[in-house]
Parts: sequence; structure tokens; C-alpha cells
Amino acid sequence: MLQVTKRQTGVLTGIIKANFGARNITYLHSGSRVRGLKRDPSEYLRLQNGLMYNEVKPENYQENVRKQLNLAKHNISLSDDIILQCLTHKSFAHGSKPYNEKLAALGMQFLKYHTSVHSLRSAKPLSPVAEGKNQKSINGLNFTNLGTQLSKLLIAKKTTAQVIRSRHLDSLIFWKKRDPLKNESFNGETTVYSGVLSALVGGILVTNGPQKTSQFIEKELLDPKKEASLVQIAKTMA
Amino acid sequence: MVVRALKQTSIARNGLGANYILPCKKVILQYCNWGGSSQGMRDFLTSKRLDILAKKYPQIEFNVLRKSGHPLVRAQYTNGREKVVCVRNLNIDNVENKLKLLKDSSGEILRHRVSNDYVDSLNTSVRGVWSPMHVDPSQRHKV
Amino acid sequence: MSQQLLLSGRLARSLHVVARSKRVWLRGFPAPQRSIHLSPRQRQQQVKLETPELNKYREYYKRLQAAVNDVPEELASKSPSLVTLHRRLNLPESFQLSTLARCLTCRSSRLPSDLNVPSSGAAFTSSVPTSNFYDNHGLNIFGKNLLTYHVTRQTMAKYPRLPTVVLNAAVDAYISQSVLASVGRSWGIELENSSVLDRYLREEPIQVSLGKLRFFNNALKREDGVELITSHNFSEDAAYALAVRSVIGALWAYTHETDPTFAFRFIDDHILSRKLDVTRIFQFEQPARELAVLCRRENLSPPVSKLLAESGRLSKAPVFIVGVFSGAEKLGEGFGSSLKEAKARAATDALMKWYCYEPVQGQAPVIDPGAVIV
Repeated sequence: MLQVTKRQTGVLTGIIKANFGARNITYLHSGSRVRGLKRDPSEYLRLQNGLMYNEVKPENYQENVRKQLNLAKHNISLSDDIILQCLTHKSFAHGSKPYNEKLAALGMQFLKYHTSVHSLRSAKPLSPVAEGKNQKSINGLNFTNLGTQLSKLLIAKKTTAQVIRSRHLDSLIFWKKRDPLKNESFNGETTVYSGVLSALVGGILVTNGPQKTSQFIEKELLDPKKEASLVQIAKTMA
Repeated sequence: MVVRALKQTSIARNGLGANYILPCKKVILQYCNWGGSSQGMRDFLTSKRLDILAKKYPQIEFNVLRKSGHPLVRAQYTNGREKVVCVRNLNIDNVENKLKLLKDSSGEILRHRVSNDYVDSLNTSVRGVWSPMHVDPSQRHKV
Repeated sequence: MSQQLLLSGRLARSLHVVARSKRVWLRGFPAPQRSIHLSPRQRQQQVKLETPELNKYREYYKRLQAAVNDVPEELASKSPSLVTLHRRLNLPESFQLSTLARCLTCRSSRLPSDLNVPSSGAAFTSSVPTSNFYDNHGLNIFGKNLLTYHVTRQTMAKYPRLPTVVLNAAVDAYISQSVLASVGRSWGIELENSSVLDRYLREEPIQVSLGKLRFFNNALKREDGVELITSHNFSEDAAYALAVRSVIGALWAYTHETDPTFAFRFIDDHILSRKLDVTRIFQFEQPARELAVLCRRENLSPPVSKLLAESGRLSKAPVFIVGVFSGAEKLGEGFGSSLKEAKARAATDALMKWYCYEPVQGQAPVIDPGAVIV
């Protein structure tokens, strides 16, 4: 395979891949979009901050994620591929790279289940409840807490997204904005970030099993002493 | 959008997951204290047979009702249906048999099965269906 | 008996008036008194009629209300339908019958406060109000979380490559409201259909009501002239679904310390044992194109459709068998009465084999890269 770089007149710069033997020549286009032309991967695989999907270094990128989430402390092993998949949104590279949509769906359900257990176990009410609105406890579990504002806030998108921001993982996420000129809410930044946290939980759940994952959630995400935990962030937001 | 989802509902398969729910949920035994046709039912109610049956099937609610007229055994099922059998002039054994018949019933309407309709399955055939298009080309029938 | 009938007639008449006044009020007439042939004072007198029978009825109503709002265990243990339901579901001994009664009390059995005016009698003619203390609200939320998590996880483990929309539809096919309602019916849960007055006149013991499903529409009789609200958890289906979810939530609460997997096994037995054919959920718009993108993503050579067999090309009923190949490997096969139809079916078959892939037992977990986006 031979790669010829050819500078054209005007703004278009392209790479012509010529495959001798087979009649297979592809023109990879970069610059402004032209309908029907294939785009150069080095362009659409690069984030705005310069991070290139193909060139992430495991010792920087994945190790950074592991360190931020304290995975080693909880004895959780997560492979490089899965970490990269968890941090890749469906919008990136038109879904041609493995993306986190389904891991996020699973992780969100597991997170919901665990935060509701967390709410049940706290004996005192999470949010003030009106007189006569209390529910009888069963087996020491406080069912009044479910459906209160704070228990809903624990897994609200803005809270889970904030966990990603405060752990400085937001710059590592591969996603494409709907319109880079518009603001965050238009681009759905919160949804993407919150999806990443759920996907990480989902990825841990699938590979390490529910036991370790619940340990991780209890000690890492629902620990009120930790700064970047759901409980702490929800409290500041309420 | 490439693939879209059509709305489906799962179909119940009672007893497949370790827990079989007996379709019969309630039995009402109706007798008359005066009429002679209730003699067998009265014998049944005064004997220990009902106690034994109720102990064996704690998931069925047994009710005894005194009402004039012929004695009845009335069974209610989880599918919302009810089956009633008149047990007039039957002796104690026959009353018990009728009761057991109702207890074991699924509550569905009985229907005649014609031959070739004996198998009723939700699953597709394991063996598959023979296809004339997949036999050896040299043997294949040409139209 | 004649006395009872008389009483019921009188009560029914007063209730009828109340219902009419309520209806008038609901329509927003400026002067509700006009269309009723009684002055408000007279109406007051009728409702507060002091007769020994009425007092007995009041007492029955109060006792029923007290029982529903905090079910005593010994009263619940006398309820035949609760005991039989407990045994039918094989619930553990630690699962109290009073909690089972609580699962059957829906919060929606409370009427809106503007309709709930006991002084005029315009409240709960057929049912008793429930307090928040002893209803299934919290249990339902928790049961729903448990159900969604477990069903999603199991479905994903069984079919790791389902596209998200299909996965959601599959989970819905197991735990949607209508499905849970049919589960509740198959458990033999009964509705409370009779009014409190009827129950009183039948001299029905209070524990009988405890074993039946109580919800908003119980309070409204069909002949009340009030429209039934079937949205917002007020329908019969919603009430059944609430009860089923609550039973699962309560089961977890009782067993999570002794046997953490018990509630999940219960879900396996009752919900995931149902039959679902996932291939029937899919609807492809451009199967051939999607297959081509999939092959490119998975580094397979591009799919090529080849005619494998045909019969009666020139007849009225031709049959074509088309296989779709990637290199030498056959990905799928389809039939059709035209070449185009057979080709589309072949591509659909190939995609179905990819998306509905089931790993065998003991295999390492499969993590799916995600559905193909064309």
C-alpha cells in the first residue's frame, strides 16, 4: 500500500490511497463538508482539545481514568478498551467506534437501584416531609425517603454529570457537539457526561460482577465524606 | 433511524420458573341443611376429607355456604372464570371427585381437539420445516 | 332484613342526592342549590340523621378505615385471601401478611381534596380513604427500580448485542404496566368492587376487604355520574401493576439480609420466565445497507447477495432463495417471490443473527460495541 499526499489547488487537501493490484482508490476529504465524499479519519477522530481517538496512550488516558475513580483501591480491573468505550459517546465519529449507550443504560439502572437502597437505609428523612406523609418502615427500611426531592437528586443527570466534571474526566470524553457555537444545554453536555458515569458503572458491573460494583458505588459514589461523591454534590445542589 | 422497535408483550408460562401457581384460587361448597339431594355433600362436609384437602392446598380458599336448593361446587380461577358443578344426589366419594376435578382444572373453557391439534406450543419446531428448495439440485423438482 | 333494606334505601337516596350535587358542582353551575330539591340545611339534616343503624354503619366505616390505615397482623392473618395469596406466591414466613395487605393499598385510592368533603357526604361513598402511612407508594418505587435493573441486566446478558431501542422494548415487554397487571391477575389478586355500604349490609368481616386491591376507582361507582379517570395510575391495570411491584419491593426488604438473591430469583420465576421472541421486535428500514455498514465496521468483506435456488420464475408464484455472503462465508438466507424481496429477507436474516446472538453458558461477558448507525 502506498500513500501519496497531494496538495491540491484551493482549500482541499487530501490523501490518495492507492492500492496496487486492486482497483481501489479512495479519496479522503478534509476541510469543509462535501456530500458524497469520505472524510479523513484524522479529522473526525480528533477532539477540539487535540485529543486523537487512535492515539490515546493507555499510560496517560486510561490510567488517569483509573486513578480518578480509585479503581485499584476497590480491586476492580477494567480493560483499556472498555474504559475507552465507556468514555465514547454515540455521537462521536458517527457511531463507527464502540460507544457507551447500552452500558450507560445498564449502569443507570444499577445506580438507581443502589441509590434507592441507600435512601432506604438512612433512618432520618433525606428531605423534610410534611406531617402525616410518613410511611411505615419495613424491616428498618425507611420507605418515606423514596421519591423525595433529595433521593431523586442523587441520580439526577446534573448530579452525575457533576461527578464527571469534578473528577476531571470531562476533557477525556469523545463526543461531538450538535452545534459547537451553541451553549451546553443545547448540545446536551449534561446528558453525555451523566451517560459516561453510568457507562463506567455498567462496564464495571458487566466485567467485575455486582458484588464489587456495589462496593465501588457505596465507597466511592455514595460516601458523604468524599468531595466528588453523589451524596455530597446532591447536598450542595439541593 | 435504522432499526425500529415494535411493541411486543411477553406471554405467561405458568410453572416454567420454579413456581407453579395453581389456577384454582377459591372453592365454594354450597349445601342445603334440609334437602335430601345434599346428603352426600353434608357427609363430605362433616367428614375429615375437606380438612385434609384444605391442608394439602393452602393456596386455595375454601368457603362453605348454606343455601337452600341443590348442592353446588363452585370454583373460581386466576383467569377470572368460574366453574360450577351441581352435585345433587351424589354420594360422598363422587362429591370429592367433582371437587378434585374442579381443583385440577385450568379454568379454561373445554374444547374439542380435532386430531392433528394435540400439540399446543409457543415454541417453533426444533426440527424445522422441510423445504423442496434445499434438496440436492440434481434431485430437485423442476417446474 | 326488611329493616336493612329500608335503611339501605334511605341511605342510597341520600347518597344519590349527594352524587347529584357533586355532579352539579363538578360542572361548575353557579348555584348548585337550584337544581337540588333540598335546601343545604335539609341536606345536612339528612346526612347527620341519628339512627342506631346509621351509627352502626358509621362505626363499621371507622373500623374499616382504621384497619386499612394500619393493618394489625392478627387481623390480616384472619383474611383468607391474604393467607392464600401468601401461600400461592411461596413467600417466606418473614413476609408479614399485614405488609401484603399494604401492597394492595394504592395511594390513588385517595380522592382529590376538593372532592373530599365529608361534611356534605361527597366523599368515599364506596371506599375508605387511605393515609400515606400505610400505602404502597414507596414499595412501588423501589419494586420498579429492582425490576427494571434486574430485567435489563438479564436481557442484556442473554442478548448482548440488541440495539438500545430493541433492548428497551424487550424490557418493556416484560415489565410494562399491562404485563404486570396480567401477572397480578394470574396471582389471583381480586378487586374490591363493592361499596362500604354493601359490605356493611352483607355483614362482611373487615379482613375480607384487606385481601382485595383498593385503588382510586374503587371509590367511584359506575352509576355515580362521575367519569372514571383511567390515566395517572388510576386505572385497574395501573393498580394491579402497583401491587405486583410493591410485592417485589417488600420481598427484597424482608429477605435482603438473609438471602440477597431471593427477590431476584422471584423476578426470574414470575417475570423472566415469560416467553418473549426478541426477533419479533425488530423492524429494519434498510437491511441491506445496514448489513454493508456492519461488515465494514467489523472488517468483513462487503456482503454480496447470490441466488441459491429458484422455482417458477415465469409462473404466477415464483420462489427465490437468496443467500448473502461475505467472502466465502454465508451470513444469511432469505426467500421471496421476487429477487428484491428475497435479498431484503436475506439481509434481515443476517442482521438478526448478529443482533440476537446469544453467548453460551460460562462464556466471558460480551461487551457490545453498539448498534450500527447508517
